[in-house]
Amino acid sequence: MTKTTLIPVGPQHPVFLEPLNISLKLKEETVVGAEINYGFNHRGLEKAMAADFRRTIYMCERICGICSFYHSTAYCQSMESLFKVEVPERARFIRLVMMECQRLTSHTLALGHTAEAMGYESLFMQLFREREALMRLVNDISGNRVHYSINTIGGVRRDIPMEKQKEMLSVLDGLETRFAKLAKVFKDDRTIKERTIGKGVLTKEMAKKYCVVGPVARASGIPEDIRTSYCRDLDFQPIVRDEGDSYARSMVRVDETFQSIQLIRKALTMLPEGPLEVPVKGNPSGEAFIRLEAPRGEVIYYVKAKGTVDLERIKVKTPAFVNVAALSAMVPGCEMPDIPVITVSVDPCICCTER
Amino acid sequence: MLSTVFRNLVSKPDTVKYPYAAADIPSGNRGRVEWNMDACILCGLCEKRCPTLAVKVDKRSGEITVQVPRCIACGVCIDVCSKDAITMTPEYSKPCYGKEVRSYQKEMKTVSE
Repeated sequence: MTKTTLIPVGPQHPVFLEPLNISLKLKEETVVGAEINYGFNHRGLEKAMAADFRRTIYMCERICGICSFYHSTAYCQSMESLFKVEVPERARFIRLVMMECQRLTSHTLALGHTAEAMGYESLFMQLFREREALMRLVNDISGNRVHYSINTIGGVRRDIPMEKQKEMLSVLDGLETRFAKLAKVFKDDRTIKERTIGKGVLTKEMAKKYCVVGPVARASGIPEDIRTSYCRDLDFQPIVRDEGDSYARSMVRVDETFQSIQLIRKALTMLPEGPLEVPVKGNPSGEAFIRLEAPRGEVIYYVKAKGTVDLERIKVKTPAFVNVAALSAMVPGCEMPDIPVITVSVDPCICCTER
Repeated sequence: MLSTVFRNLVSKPDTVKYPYAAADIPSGNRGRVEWNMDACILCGLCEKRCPTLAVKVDKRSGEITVQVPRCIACGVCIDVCSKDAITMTPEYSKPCYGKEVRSYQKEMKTVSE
């Protein structure tokens, strides 16, 4: 009879960008169980956010540095539903364009990180070079590389003028051709395939049981994407794969980068004329519940207001929280060296999870 | 892969040697905020709406103080200013030794501490 060994991975580990602890139970080299531990990065942001409702727009962007715009959009949408105002169409499209830009930066980061975890330093560097062009583009459009801060309750604060649209399209054209070459490495490289195909399989039943969202759910055959309703006029179809392994999760992200570029192009051609924001007056009251498709899955905002400047409660449910928990269903049966790649393929974001 | 190797052998680096060369900042960047005290009427809206409480307006002495490390360059003060007295330049604030506090006096143009 072999003994079971406990090996802690993290909270400080070279492959994790943020503190996360996975206690692995091993029999020889094979993993038989895992326990996920969170809670090393709690900042008490939800309590701090329940303050002046105008200041909270900038506070909720600080939850996460990779999907900051999704947080502020979800918050602004919930406040708009409290104030019962309809956002102008142009503002809705600008939000959509910026959200897809941020999805591109997030997916390139996740793919680059996956490449780095597999020892592909050069692929990682090349992906990040392309990401840098994208970051410069969003910096020029929104004013900041990470925290765009262009959302406001009732619309957006910055327009995308014609010359910036043209610049954006030319940058995206260049990116698409260069991405296609890098995506070919992800798709066809023998070592990447051997390290990811059949590793960390999450079956459709287990995916439903763990309530996973985003690319992790779509790689397990669940066609769940909130963009189907948000991008209703852009003919959007979610990318779904059935394998449920690390390779499928990376491939969903690779295909979604191209899909995002297409969505930005379509949205820019359809960008309607009109005002950027509608003014809101008074203080909010009531409850609102908003879902939005962030790069890692759906982000849910619940806001309760009491008719004063200060809010009563904000509850945020972020996608990484359920996705990381599903790791305990993915790792049994895998070998110890596969654990970093499987973990990174889920794209854990502890900033979002712990707030 | 070989083409990448040869291309990288002859190409220039993608990075900028920042302190020695000028930083590559796009024109749309939100950087440093400046107050034009000739146009300012000391209404205090910038102080009221600043999300990080970085701006203090003293209406009696006519002085506006900005705690630079607190400023997140969101640009709300520029949006709410009715006299267009606040401007923003793409360059970031320069690095400094202490927590920089900039002050603007109504009568004189700029007094820095």
